[in-house]
Order: sequence, then C-alpha cells, then structure tokens
Amino acid sequence: MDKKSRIFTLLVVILLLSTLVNAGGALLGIIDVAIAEGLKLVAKGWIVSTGWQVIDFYEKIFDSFPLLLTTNPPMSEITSGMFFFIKIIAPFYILAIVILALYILMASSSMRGRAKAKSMLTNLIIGLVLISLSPGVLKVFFIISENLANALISMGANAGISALKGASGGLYEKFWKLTLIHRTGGVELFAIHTTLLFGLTIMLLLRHVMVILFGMLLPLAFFLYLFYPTKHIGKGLFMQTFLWTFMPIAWILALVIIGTVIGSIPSYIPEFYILIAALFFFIGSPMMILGVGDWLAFLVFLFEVLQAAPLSIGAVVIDETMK
Amino acid sequence: MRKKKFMNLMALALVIILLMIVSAEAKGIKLESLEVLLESLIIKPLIRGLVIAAPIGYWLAYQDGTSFVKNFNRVILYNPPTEGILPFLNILLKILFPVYSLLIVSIGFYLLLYSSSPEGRANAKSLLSKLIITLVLISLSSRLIWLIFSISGYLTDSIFSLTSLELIGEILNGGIWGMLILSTWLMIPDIELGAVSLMLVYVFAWLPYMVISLRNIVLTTLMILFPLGILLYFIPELKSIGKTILEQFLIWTFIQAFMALALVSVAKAFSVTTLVSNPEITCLNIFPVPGINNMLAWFFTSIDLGTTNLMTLGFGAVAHFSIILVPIVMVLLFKKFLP
Repeated sequence: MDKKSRIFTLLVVILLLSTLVNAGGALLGIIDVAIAEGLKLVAKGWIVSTGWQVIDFYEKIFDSFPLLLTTNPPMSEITSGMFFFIKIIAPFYILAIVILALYILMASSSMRGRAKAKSMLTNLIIGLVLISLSPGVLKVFFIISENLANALISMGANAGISALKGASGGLYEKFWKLTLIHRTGGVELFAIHTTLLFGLTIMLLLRHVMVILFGMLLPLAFFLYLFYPTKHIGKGLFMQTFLWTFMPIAWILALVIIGTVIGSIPSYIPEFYILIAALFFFIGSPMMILGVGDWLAFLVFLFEVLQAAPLSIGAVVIDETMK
Repeated sequence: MRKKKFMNLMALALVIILLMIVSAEAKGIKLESLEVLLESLIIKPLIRGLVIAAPIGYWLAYQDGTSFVKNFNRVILYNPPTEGILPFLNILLKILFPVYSLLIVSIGFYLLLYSSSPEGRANAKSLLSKLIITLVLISLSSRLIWLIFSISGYLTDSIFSLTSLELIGEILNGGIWGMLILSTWLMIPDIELGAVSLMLVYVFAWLPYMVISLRNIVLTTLMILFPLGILLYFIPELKSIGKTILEQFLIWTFIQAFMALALVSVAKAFSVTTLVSNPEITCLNIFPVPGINNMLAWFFTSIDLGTTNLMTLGFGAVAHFSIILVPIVMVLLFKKFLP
C-alpha cells in the first residue's frame, strides 16, 4: 500500500470511529438499561447463591438428627466429673454421720429426737448407696433413653425429618423469589430462616452439654435430696438430669407425629404452611410433651432474674417489711 | 504475534468504550449499568469487606473483641475485693453497738428484776445468746465473706482442672470467629443478610462480660448488705428478709463455679460429639473476581478470618450462651435453701 492510500484508510477509520463514538453515546442509553438490569440480576443471583450456601451449611444438621437424638455422651466423660463431686461431698457426709452418732450417743434426751436422728441416719446410708450408684443410675437412664429413641425413630421419624427439610426448603424458595423481585425483599425471611436453623442446631448440641452437666451433678442431687432444707434443690437437679436425658424422646415423638400428620393432610391445604407449623412444633415439643417449662415459664424466668437483681432486692425487702 | 494483535484489538475496544462513555456523559446521559456494576458488584462489596468485616476482625484479633476468650478463666474466677465493705461495715457497727448495748442491758435488767416465769427467762436467755452470736458474726463478716469467696474460688479452680483450659479457649474462639466468618460471607453481597450473625458476634463479645459484670455488681451490693442480712436472719420477725439476702449472696457467689462447670461440660461435649456431616464455610472465596478475591483472602487470613465448620460454630455459640444461661438456671434451682 502506498503512502497516499494509507493516509486515506486512516482518515476513513477515524471518521468511522468518530461516527461510532458519537452514535454510541446516544445508543448507549438504551443498551445501558439492558446491561444495568442484567447486572442487577447478577447481583441478586449473588445474594441468592450466598444465602443458599449458608442455608445449606445449616441444613446439614438434619443429616445428624438421628445420630444426635439416639446417642448420649459416653459415660467416661461424665464419671470423672461425678467423682469430683463425690470427693467434695464425702467429707460433709462423714461429718454428718459423726454428728448424728454423737447426737444419739450423748445429746439426745427425748425418744422422739433419737428416733428422728435414727431415721436421718438411715436416710444418710441410703444416700451413700445412691451416691455411689449414681454413675449406674445415669447409665440406666442412658440405656432406657437410647433404646426408646431407637425404637421410636424406626416408626417413621425420617418422614418428620424430611418435613422439616421441606419447611426449610420452602422458606428458602420464598426468600429467593422475593429477592429476585427486590434486592432486599427476602432479607427478613432469611433472618427468620437462619435464626430457626441456628436455634435448632444450638438446642441439639446444648442437650449433650446439659446431659453432661447435670450428669456430673447427679451425686450432688442425691446428697441434697437427703436433707430437708435442700430437698427441693436435689429434686430440681434430679428432674433436670431426667428431662435433658429424655428430651430426644419428645423430639422423636414430635418427628413421628409430624410424619403422620403430613401424610394425612388434604391436598387443598398448601403444604408449605403445614411444614412451617411442623418446624415450630418440633422446636416447642420438649416444652409441650415433657413439660420442661410451660409457655409462661419464660416470664417467670425473667421475673426471677429481676428479683435477684440489686434493685429488686430493695423491693423485696420493702415488700417483706410491709407484711 | 497473534497475541500482540489480540492485545492491540482489546486496547482499541477499551478506548472506544471509554470514548463512548465520555460522549454519553457529555450528552448528559447517566450510565446506570456502570453505577450498578460499581455499586452492587465491586465497590460496595469491597467497602463492606474492608471497612466493616476487616476492622471487626482486627478488633477481635488484636483488641478487646476476644478479651473474654483470652481471659475467661481469670474473669470467671474474679471476686470483688472484700475490703470494699469495710466502710459500710464500720457505719453499721457504729449504729448497731449502742443498740446492742441497750438490748443487752435491758435483757440483763429483765432477767434480774422482772422475769417471773421460767419460760420468759429462757426466752430472754436465748435472745441474749442470739445477740452475742450475731454480734460476733457481724464483726467477722468481712472474714466470713472472704472465706466464702475462697471456697467458691477454690471450687471453680478445681472444676476448671477437669479439662484443659486451652480447649475451652479454642471453643469460645471458634464460636466468635465462626460467627464473624459467617456474617462476612453474608454481608459482602448484601449488608442486611449478615445482620443477624453480625449482631451475634457482638452478643458473643459483650454478653458474657455483661453477665459477669452484673454478678460483680450484685455481689458487691449483697456484700454490703451481708452483715445486715446476718442481723435480720436472727430476728424472728425479719428472718425472711435476712434469709433472702444471705441466700442471694451465696447463689451469686457460687455462680462462678457453675459457669466453670458449664464451660467444662461444653468442652467435654465438644470432644465426644460427632456429626454425620460437618460442613465448612469460608470467607476466602467470596468475590467472583480472582484478583480482588486474592487480595481480600490475603487480608482476611492475616487476621485469622478463614474457615469455620458447623461443630466449631455450634459449640462455640453454646459455650457463650451457657455463660448467659447459668445465672438464670442457678437462681431458679437454688432458691429457698436456708432453714
């Protein structure tokens, strides 16, 4: 190509480009909207996929449901703690027996007092047996609870677990649809969804912790149960051990019930609502089935905490004085 | 050669696009797509990562965010100093001594002059012995408080020795960092998505301290009321008030032992519980763009913000919640135990 034609070609190219740029500026307005909408959709897709990763992360707890509900922590972890408390109790025990014996030998003047002391001594000896047997008692609890759980779980708990998964899936579906309509449309639903799933995980793991905690305190529970002033504390501790050990039974029962109910729902009722109700029923089931605490218990909790706070002590003092 | 041509072509395309943008701007057309691209996909997510998540990570790693995690055993073992009640005790004793002298003298007079029935005399005598016992106990109350604190502290320390403190620390650390990782992962595309988990990060950082501080405040108040509690406990008409004060003092003192027991139980449960599947979540590959992702990943890993799993996150959360739950359970279970 000679020099002239090269310059000519360059001029043509520049002319074409300037036209393109000029027209492009005007055209851009139209293309821009399309690209913007596309990018918005990408941003929404990013939110939806991020949400899915987290929901999927939490939903994996459903796979562990049968394992977490049918097993209890191994006794070896609890017995060390139990022996720790037995060691603490032992001196008090010896002291109590010695004082009682001395009372019977020397100080008791009335027949009634002596009889009372003797019955106390019998109580102490029964307690001694119970305390030394407390690992066995807990083991029996565990065996009963595990056997019951295994028997119940085969009655159709898997249908219940799939119902809970379905509830979670339904909530996620609503979330992504709302997010596609508006970027922040499904945020509240997502917050509720993750809170529910996180709460479920926490409750299941907390049960194992509580079984270990109250299992370790079982000797103390027996010890406190023997003395009249502390009888209700011992009873409370024992009840807590019992309830936390048998809580899976309530949960599995709830799963079985959910599974049965889901199968018999007429087709004109939207399944999603039933599934959501099932999720709430599962969370509330220990409170309803075992009576761990009635629905008003939370208010009582708050009241008790407030009562213990320093300001309320003043109120109690005034209240007591006015009586 | 071909690569060079391609690069030249790309450069030309970029120049044309830039010129188009400039031309559009000159004509007063606002480019929405550019805005969306920068706002939703690049700039704002980057800002959230670097201005919100990273500083919180820095706060947890190098400042007081994980203060509880690092010092949990010392914080739980702490009891308010008993010397604090001495001024109050002195005031109480100043008020009580004249009252006591008057009471003892009047009982003496009663025994000497007025008592006619043996029953009345026995009552007066028992009142006298009660007065003397309370007087001794009140004068010794700061020592008594010290003794109760020592027993509780010793018990707490021995409970902590049931498991390794490092494991408890790791669990607590895993909980708070796991929550931050989760909220970072969620907040990068949209800040509202991570709101709940971000709130939980603060709950984990502050609430244990708040509960423990509440214990110290309540305990200081009850320590001041303790001598009065002893006095009221021995007066039959006011026994219930004295009983409440003494019971609450003992409960709030021994809460530390139960907090330790809760943490030990969490550590034991953590070491024995298994999950069928233990999924992981990470905040290292958040961005779809590799360059930005690598930069953020380098930044996040430098402050420990990496990957978490369901077990670590779950038990970490349970450990933090158990600290909050223990005072409630204790107050509910251990009430009305004094005769």
